[in-house]
Amino acid sequence: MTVAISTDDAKTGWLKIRLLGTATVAGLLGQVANPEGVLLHICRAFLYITTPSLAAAVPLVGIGATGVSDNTILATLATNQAAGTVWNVVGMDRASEAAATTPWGVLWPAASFLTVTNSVAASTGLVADLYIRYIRLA
Amino acid sequence: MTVAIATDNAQAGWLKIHLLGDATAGAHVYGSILNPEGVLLHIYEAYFYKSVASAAASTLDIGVNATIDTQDTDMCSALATNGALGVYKIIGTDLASEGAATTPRGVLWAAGSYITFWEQAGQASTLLVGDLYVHYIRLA
Repeated sequence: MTVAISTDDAKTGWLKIRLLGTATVAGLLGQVANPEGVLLHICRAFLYITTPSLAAAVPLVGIGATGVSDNTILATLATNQAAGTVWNVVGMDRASEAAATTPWGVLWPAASFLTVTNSVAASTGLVADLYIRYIRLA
Repeated sequence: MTVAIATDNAQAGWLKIHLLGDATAGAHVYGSILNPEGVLLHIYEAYFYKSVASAAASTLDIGVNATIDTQDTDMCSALATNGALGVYKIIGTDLASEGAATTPRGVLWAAGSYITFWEQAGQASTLLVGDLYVHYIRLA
């Protein structure tokens, strides 16, 4: 499993999902089921790259049915960045009263998955954590 | 001590750091706050609430530094402490998806390092009362 919810330390309200790279160039890295079983709105997220991938892999991250690629959360960010860097995931450049839709917010239905699909190059070496904050729309 | 973590009320998840001005002239440190978690943190949101203005035109620097009582400006540089009261945004959130969350739109706070508060303009900051509110992620 290369995509999994992490429970290693106190998270102060953040869902932490560990991403580990593989030699797969194009294909599903892994997925996480909606952990609450109700509709969620992802309102904030960051990607912390502790160890970059060797090549310029681009993981597509989004919400979909099991095993289905989606890029409504991450679409273009290469993971061969400097080690120890933090990247914004949900856009915060949004005015009051604007729609909080991708890339400024993403709905996560009860029975769907956060899927991670690799693209462009192998993600070998990558160790990163996706931190997510959401609202329970229930 | 003019800089301290406040525990006066429920803070709804915010780290609240209380700042009081002083009569010292010349650039100087107000104080420093040690990383309270002992692990790497990412500060992604912060506000400064100026509730009482300083009498003179002092200015405030806030930043994260490995050394206690050292001037740093990666959170805030030369914010006027006299004049209008109110809430000031310290960590910018004007950041698009997939952008780097670096200063001024995010600051790493390493274990064992400090948030430092510094008077830059060389003026006494007598009367100043303010609070820095900080949200962070534990990167551990």
